[in-house]
Amino acid sequence: MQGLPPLRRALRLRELVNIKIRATPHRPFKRAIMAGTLALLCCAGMVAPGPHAARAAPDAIPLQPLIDAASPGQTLVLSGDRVYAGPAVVSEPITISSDGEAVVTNGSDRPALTLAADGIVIRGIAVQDGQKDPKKPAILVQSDGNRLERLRIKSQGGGIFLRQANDNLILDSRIEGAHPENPDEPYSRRGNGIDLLASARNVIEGNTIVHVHDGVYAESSNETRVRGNVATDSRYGYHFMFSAGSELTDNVGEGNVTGGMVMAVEGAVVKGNRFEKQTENVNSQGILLFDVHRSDISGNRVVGNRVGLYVERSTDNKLAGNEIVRNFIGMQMIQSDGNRLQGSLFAANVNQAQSTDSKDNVLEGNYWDDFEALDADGDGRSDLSYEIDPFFLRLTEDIEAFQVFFQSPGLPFLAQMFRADTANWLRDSSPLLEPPLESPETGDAASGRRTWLPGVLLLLAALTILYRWGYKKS
Amino acid sequence: MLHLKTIASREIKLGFRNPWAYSFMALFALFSLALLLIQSQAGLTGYTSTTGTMINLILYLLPLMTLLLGSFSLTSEKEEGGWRLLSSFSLRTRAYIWGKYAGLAVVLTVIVAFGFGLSGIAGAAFGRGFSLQAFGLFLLFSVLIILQFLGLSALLGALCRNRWQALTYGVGIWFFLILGWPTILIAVLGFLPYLWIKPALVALIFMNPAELNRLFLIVKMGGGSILGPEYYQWVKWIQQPLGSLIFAGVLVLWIVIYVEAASGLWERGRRRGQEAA
Repeated sequence: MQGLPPLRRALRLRELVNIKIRATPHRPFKRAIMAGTLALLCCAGMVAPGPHAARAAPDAIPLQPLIDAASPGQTLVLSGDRVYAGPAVVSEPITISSDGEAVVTNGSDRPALTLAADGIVIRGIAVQDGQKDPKKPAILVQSDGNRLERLRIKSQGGGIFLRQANDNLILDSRIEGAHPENPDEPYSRRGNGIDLLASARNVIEGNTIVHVHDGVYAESSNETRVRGNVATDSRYGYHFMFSAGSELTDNVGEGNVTGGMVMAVEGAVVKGNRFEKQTENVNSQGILLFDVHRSDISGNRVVGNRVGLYVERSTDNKLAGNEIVRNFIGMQMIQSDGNRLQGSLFAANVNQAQSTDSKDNVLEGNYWDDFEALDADGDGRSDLSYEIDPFFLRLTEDIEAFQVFFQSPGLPFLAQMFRADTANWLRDSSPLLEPPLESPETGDAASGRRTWLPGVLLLLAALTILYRWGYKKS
Repeated sequence: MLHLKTIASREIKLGFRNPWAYSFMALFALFSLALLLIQSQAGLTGYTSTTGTMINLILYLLPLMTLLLGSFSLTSEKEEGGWRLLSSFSLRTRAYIWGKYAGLAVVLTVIVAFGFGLSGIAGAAFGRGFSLQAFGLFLLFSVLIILQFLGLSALLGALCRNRWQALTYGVGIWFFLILGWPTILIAVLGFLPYLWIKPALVALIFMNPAELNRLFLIVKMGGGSILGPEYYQWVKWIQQPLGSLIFAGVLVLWIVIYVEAASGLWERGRRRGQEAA
């Protein structure tokens, strides 16, 4: 198209961009080459049939020429019922959208889409990337101020990677790893859903990320805002490393190894998230804080995880109003000092909390459902403090095999004998008498009533046997 | 087989005339009811504080109950001359011991069924019951604990001369296997080289039916990951259907070894008794 005179070029653009684009490659031989390449790719796909190989239909329209044809500020509308072939590099600030949901396929080892100019908008398209390298993304963003919206990405490799890309928005998209039907697929063979490196002030909101390595991974990316996303069936739902001032609010994580993992971060905000059912893995946690300082972790719900809230080597954090329910271990605190835990609810955890080597932590006004409180002055707070026994954690620190004694009936007996000096224990100085939060998950009352019939049957059977063979004279 | 059946039905009759059976029945029913009413969470599935507490109750109460009722049943036959009378018939010792085992198993299962039936109804009435899955698993867990400890109690009964002795040893064994178990193991295993600790621990768990059953139940309730990375393979293995099958095999083997040992001892005593006479 570059060879055309300016007027015809403009006309042609109008035709391409504003009117529905139909496959109108202008040079027959080029088309033949393209078709041949695609055919070859398809053959390659058949030889090594990765279930997620790009389904590049032979009539897929090459995307790059269409993008090249659009000039800055214009909108390229892809046809919803057509398939387009990547890879493509966007190097002008254009908008790519679709009147339905156009599919972009990619069989190359480059990203299906690379964003190389600032201010690009991509909206409402599906990307099916056939790459198998987890380190390679379907969409690579290398520029600032872009907007990625309502995308549907399916990839064996990575989803959206941001590299030195600032102030971008990633909204309402769905990223799915290959083989979601196989939960045992090794994490090492999955890419990250959204992966940020050295990228600041990006907003990731309203996305759904399924069956990937890490749902959102932010490394050295300050002030990353992650809001209202859902990450399931992955290694870590949300993973922050060395990213100061990160924000993780109102997200959901289910069935991951760990829901939210924050490492080596200052001033993070982790608020209003819900992490559930992280129990399958021996390293599962709801929220993991490691080397986290001066951060605000409040209003989160961690339900039914192996460890609800895990805090290690973290100082001066505020943990308030969290709901920690039905985990195997509610909270573990290791080598963490000067943290403040208040107004939180601990209920139905097999073991409420464990802590070692942590000092100067202030726990007050939390609710512990296994605690027999005593309130003489009637201020709603117990005059007796709730003490957290470090015994089991110490026992298993050196010899991990002793973990098998978890909640063994003989263990409290042993712990009691070692209960000499409780001065250094983590303790809640004023536990609440009533739960501070509305509903401490009361469970399904209807399912609690289902033992009616089995109960009656058991009782009848027992009484019958007792009477027939025990009492009655034969 | 006919002898075995006769002895078993005689055992059931004797069992239900034993006031101990009723006191244990009352105790078990009372405790499971109390637990049910204390807990605030209803119908939760999986491994939670409620199910954890219930597991502990079962582990505290049932092994002691089984050890005492089982060993008393055998020693009282020695003390009260029941066995002297029976041994004058052409009754084989094995049929006798296995018959007693079967009869006692029925008695104890009825006790547990009564307790669970009551708490099942009460739980449903107050809306604080267990989920159906947890209820079923607890029942199974209790019956398995009974069957295994009954094997142990048969050997105990064969070894002890009278009920006093059986009571002393029974409580001792219960303390060793339930209360003192972690203490003793941690103390002893601490002397072993690090790499031996886990294999030794696993081998010892197979020696203790209470721990073996407890871990199996926790894994089946989905709590396997709490055992940590050391037991990853074990947990995966138990979760499979084959795991249950092998577990059942180990259980049967355990019972057969103990009851056969008891009947061997008993038989020896019978021969010696005849020689003496």
